[in-house]
Amino acid sequence: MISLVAFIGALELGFGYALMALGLFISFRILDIADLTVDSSFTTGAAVCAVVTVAGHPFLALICAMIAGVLAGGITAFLHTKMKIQAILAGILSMTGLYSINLRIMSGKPNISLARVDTIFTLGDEVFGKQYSALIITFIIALIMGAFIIFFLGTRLGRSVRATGDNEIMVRSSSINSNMTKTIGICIANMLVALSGAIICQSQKFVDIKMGIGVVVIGLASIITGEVIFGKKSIKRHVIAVILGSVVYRIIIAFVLNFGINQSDLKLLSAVIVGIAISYPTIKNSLKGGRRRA
Amino acid sequence: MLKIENVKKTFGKGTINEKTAIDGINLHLEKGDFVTVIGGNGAGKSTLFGAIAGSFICDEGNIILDNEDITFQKEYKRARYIGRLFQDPLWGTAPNMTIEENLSLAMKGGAISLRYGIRKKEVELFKEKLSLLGLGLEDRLKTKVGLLSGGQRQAVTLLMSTIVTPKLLLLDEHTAALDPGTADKVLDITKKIVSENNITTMMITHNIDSALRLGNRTIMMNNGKIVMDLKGKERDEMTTEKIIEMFGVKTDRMVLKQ
Repeated sequence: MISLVAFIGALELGFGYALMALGLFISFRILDIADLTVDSSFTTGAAVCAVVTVAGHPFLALICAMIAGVLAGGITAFLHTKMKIQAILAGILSMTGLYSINLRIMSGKPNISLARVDTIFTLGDEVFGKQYSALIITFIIALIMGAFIIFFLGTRLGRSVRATGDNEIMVRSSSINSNMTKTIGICIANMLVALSGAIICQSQKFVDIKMGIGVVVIGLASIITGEVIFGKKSIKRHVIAVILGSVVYRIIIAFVLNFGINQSDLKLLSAVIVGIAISYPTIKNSLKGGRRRA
Repeated sequence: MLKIENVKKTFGKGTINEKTAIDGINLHLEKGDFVTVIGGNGAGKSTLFGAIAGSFICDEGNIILDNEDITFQKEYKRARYIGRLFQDPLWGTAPNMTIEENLSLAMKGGAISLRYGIRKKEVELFKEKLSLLGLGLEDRLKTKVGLLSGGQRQAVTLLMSTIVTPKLLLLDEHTAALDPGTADKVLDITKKIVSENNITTMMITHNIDSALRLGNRTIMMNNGKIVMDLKGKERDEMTTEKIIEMFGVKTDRMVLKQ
């Protein structure tokens, strides 16, 4: 078993990373676009947040991070919709370019510590008490953003974004401007991802230029975990499933670490889990004896 | 109403695959006209529709709809007043969204509106319009469209294209992928909606018989040109046999479907 502290820590991380999973949910599930910008926009959010927090504005830092995320998404969306670059390549281009920009934001240093400055969490300690404040804060933010996504996807604009991912042929011959809906979707997705980076940065009091590597896989693992356990019948249910999926994923990781698995092997583990989960229908089919060449 | 003036489009210009899909089309439609379009495969029928709907910008010529020059207007902007249906019933609706959500996308105005949900008044309108289809869909507003049959989906698409009365309705063999019974039903619904709202309509079909029976004008295309334009008495006296005699049988499909 894991200790209570480790468990609460897992929940905190779960809700913190849930925002990133929600962002991925918008790009991968709603828009059906494999947006790899995420690996860098996560760090962009964290880096912007760190710089502004060190300057003494922990709340403003979150907002700045979100704006940075929107801009990062905007670049990818521009490359994809206006320059007609494949979505996956557009994402890789921004991801690569953003690495340098992230380093610039961090004044060329590979990491920044927030050890002796106020963050929303140190301020929260005074309100909610030390033990649970981080959990409460991350939970509230995840709740607000989850509600925002459910609301947004239920609006006329949100429905247009959903239709774009659901049937592109239909949207192309309809009065919906699919370039606009894709851009809005990708921007919101990266806004959430950057906010997630900012929250993780403030809670760990640390930002590292490499902290975003592999978050796409972690996000997908969270989404799939959530979908399998909690279902995806309606948008509301799907969003809640993604948030809880992120939490469950973190709890699983906490248990795995407790078994003495090396921290550096976690990425391999996540990749294997996602690989198996996605190929599950194919594997099941061939095991059930679909017709094969004799 | 619709004026197509000397419109030309060549695909793959300067390559080995160069193909002039429509070659100097002139066509004037009056308000309320129902034009059926026939012609063999590759005659340029669908390309003509694409030109009108704005899937591409024409190389030459002008397209004027209701006194507005739309030659260079973007496709999604034209879609506000040009309804379009395709042969494939999967093309016109979003499968993972409900019937009411799909219909709500077709409502006028507020594409960037942040109003949550669908208005009660709109839901009432959807129910009323769906009940006119006679398919029992008015009780299934919350059903995902992906669960419907091809005929039902095509009927919903037709409703989406006409719920806000369009200036022009383009039907590109919209019943060809359905079984004969369903195809007749969808065609009946089409006739009803078009005549009730007096919508100017163009319909591509491979069935010469129904091309002559439906609507008030028939054009035949070949090699990107209009080779026959029938209306009035001349059209009343025309028969499938005469057309085949005059032009020969262009494709196997024409034989099969007469």
